[in-house]
Formats: sequence, C-alpha cells, structure tokens
Amino acid sequence: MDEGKYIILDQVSKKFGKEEILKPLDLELDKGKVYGIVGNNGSGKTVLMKCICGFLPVTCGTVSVNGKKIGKDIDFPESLGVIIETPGFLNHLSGYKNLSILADLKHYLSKEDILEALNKVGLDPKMKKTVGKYSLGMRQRLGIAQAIMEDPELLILDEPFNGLDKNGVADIRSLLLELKQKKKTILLASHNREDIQILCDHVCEMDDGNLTWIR
Amino acid sequence: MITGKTFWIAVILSGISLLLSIPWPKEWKSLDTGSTYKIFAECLTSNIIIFMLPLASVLPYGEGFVCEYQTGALKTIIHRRSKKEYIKGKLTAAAFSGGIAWGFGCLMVFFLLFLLLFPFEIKGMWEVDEISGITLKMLRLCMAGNICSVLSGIFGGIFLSGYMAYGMPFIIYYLLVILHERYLKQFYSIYPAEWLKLDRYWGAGAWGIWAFLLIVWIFLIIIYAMILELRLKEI
Repeated sequence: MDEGKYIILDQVSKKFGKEEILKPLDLELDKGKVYGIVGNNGSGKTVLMKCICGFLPVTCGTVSVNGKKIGKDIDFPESLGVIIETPGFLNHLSGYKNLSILADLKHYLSKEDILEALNKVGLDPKMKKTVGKYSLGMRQRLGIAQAIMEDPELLILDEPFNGLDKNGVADIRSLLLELKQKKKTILLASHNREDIQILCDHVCEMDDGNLTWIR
Repeated sequence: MITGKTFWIAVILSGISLLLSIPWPKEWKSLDTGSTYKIFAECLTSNIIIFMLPLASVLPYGEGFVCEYQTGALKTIIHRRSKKEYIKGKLTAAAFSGGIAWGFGCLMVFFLLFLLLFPFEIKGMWEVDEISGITLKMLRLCMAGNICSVLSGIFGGIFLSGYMAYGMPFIIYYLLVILHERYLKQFYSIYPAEWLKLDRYWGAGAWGIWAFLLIVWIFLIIIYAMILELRLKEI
C-alpha cells in the first residue's frame, strides 16, 4: 500500500441490479487536502461518497481509509464526519439534544464541545425548538455541526450548502476554510463551482460513473 | 430506552391494567395472611392483562429502528459505532423493553397493594413457595412482553413502518388466541393466556413453559438480528 495516501480506491465499481453506477475506478487521496467532486445529478457522486463512508458495499474492488479496508477491517472510517443527502435527526428533540445523543455514542465529547459546534455553524445552542420545526437551512447547519463536533480527520460532505441562505453559505465556507487550515481531509461534492473553486485543492468530475481529474 | 416517553407510557399502561384487574377485598378489617400477594397474583392473569399485554409491550421499542432508518438519523448514528455494536444495541432494546415496562408496572402495583393491604393482614409468615410462584408468574408476564417487543422490531424491520411495528404483534397475538379458542384447543402452548396461567401440564416444575418461552424469544431475536443485518448492508 502507498504509505502517503489516506484514501485509496482500487478498481472500485458499484452496480445496482444490472445498472453500473460507478465504473471501475482508481483513486488516491492525500491526507490534509480538500478534494472537490463535481458532476450532474445521477453521475455517481453520492454513491462514490457512500462507498468511501462504508454506507454502501462496493460490487468490485476495495476502499481503504488510513490503511484499513472498509467492510473488511472496519465497517466505517475511524475518524469520520459525514453529511450525505438530507441530514436526518430525531424530529421530536432539540438540536442540542440530538447532538448530545450522538456525542454519547463516542463518550469523549463534553457539553462545551457540542455548544461550540452549534456556535460554529451559527445555531443558537439555547434554542428549545425541536428539529421537526427547523427550516431546511437550519437542518443543514445542524447536519454540519454533527459532522464536525468530534473534530474528525476525514470529512465527507455531500452538498453541504444545500438549503443555506447567503449568510449560511458564507458561514459554512469560512468554517470549511478553517478546517482546511487545520489540515483535515475533506471530500466535498457541490453543484456550485464557486464553492469548489474557493475551497478545494483538487477537483474531479463524475460523469456517468466515470471519474476524471480536472484540477 | 427508559428515558423515552413511550417507555413510561407503557409502564403507566401496564400499571393501570394491573390496577383495574385487582379483585379488591370486600372486608378490609382482618385479611388473611398473604392476602397482599394472593390478590396481586390474581391480577397478573386477569383478562385485562391478557388483552393489554401486546399493546403495552410494543410501545417502548416499537419503531426504534424504523424511525432512525426513515428519518436518515441512522446515517449520523451508525458511523459512530460499528454495525455489530449498533445491532447489539437494537437487539438488547427490543429483547428486554417490553418485559422491563411490565416489570416496572408490576413492582409499582405490588408496592401500592402492600401499602394498602398489608396493614390489615393477620400477622403471620408469608409462604415462600407461593411467593416464588408469583415471582415466576410475573417473570413469565415480562417474558411474554419481551416476545411482543421483539416481534414489533421484526415487523418494523421488515416493512419499515411504525404502524406495522405497533400493529402486527397485536394481530399475531390475537390470531394465536383465536386459533386456540376456536380451532386448536389441544395446542395450548400457542395460547398466550396459558403462558401466564399454567392451567395445563408443562412438565414437572413447569420447566416446559420456560423452555418454550426462551426458545421462542431467542428464535425471534435471531430473526431480528438477521433482518437488521440485511437492512444495514446498504444505508
């Protein structure tokens, strides 16, 4: 295995029935870089991200993160923050309560860490409103808060700017820039080329299950 | 689980069912020794309890997995644990939640009966054999509750529907009651009321009922584990 590479996809393909959503692809990503994935709807961006997260098993090939094979050595990358599709929460609980339930699963987060994550994404930690009453933008912010609250090494963000207003986009952009400076590895999918331009070190394009580097 | 609203609703429901089943003594002045536990034992096998058993048992866990799956919360939860740990957590919750809710209900009602009736009892020793028999009856009630709660997990997992999770154990339970009462009278093992009452022969010391309940319970847990594993293959 290449020692320097953080994420390695070796001849990875994914089929749903007879339809091949990901054509066999090789991909090597360095630690501490921000990678952007652009592509049309249905081009396979989300499927690729889900395969890296361990949410979908690959049909062929292997996915390794930090030297460990996903689905064989580990179910999911060890230090992962993820937001894929619409972030899901327990609607009858507040944003803070949702995050504290998630934090309890890992046991090492303090109340302050959760409050800090909420502050970073621009949500009021004292807000009593249940998540069911949140707007799409607020849910998105909460989704990003849950992804970053454990300070993970790898962030996989699928359309993190979805549903955000201008201020929201600016807030999350500056948050991601901050994470980039902290040398986090970020995989970011977005329709917005401007976001990709500003944030990413390298950019690839997905088209009909094929991946090509464009920067 | 026990911090959930539905768990406490189930506890209250089981407590109310037990309270409604109490055959209150007509004369309170001098109750026979052991009246407290004898009255409690009677209410454990009342028709109300037999009717309410599947209803209260499915409440604490019911749509636990379905809710996480359908809202997408599963994606935020699962990568913080391994699949194995997640499944273990869900199995534990489903396997014990119904029984724990009934256990709490029973303890509350017994405590209340003790407060109300014990002072009027004629002083004497409680029969240890009878008490252990009642404890076992209570544990069988809890076990039947556990079976219902695992069933709710299974149907929730299969259909990914809260209605199915809450409704199907009830339907199956009554199907067993109807089957026994109308068509299969000799097959008393499928009759839920018999699990509590033990009117028929279950082996010396009634070990047969425990073997039967444990086998059904473990078998259902294994099925639920397989369903969860399948559901978690693609998230």
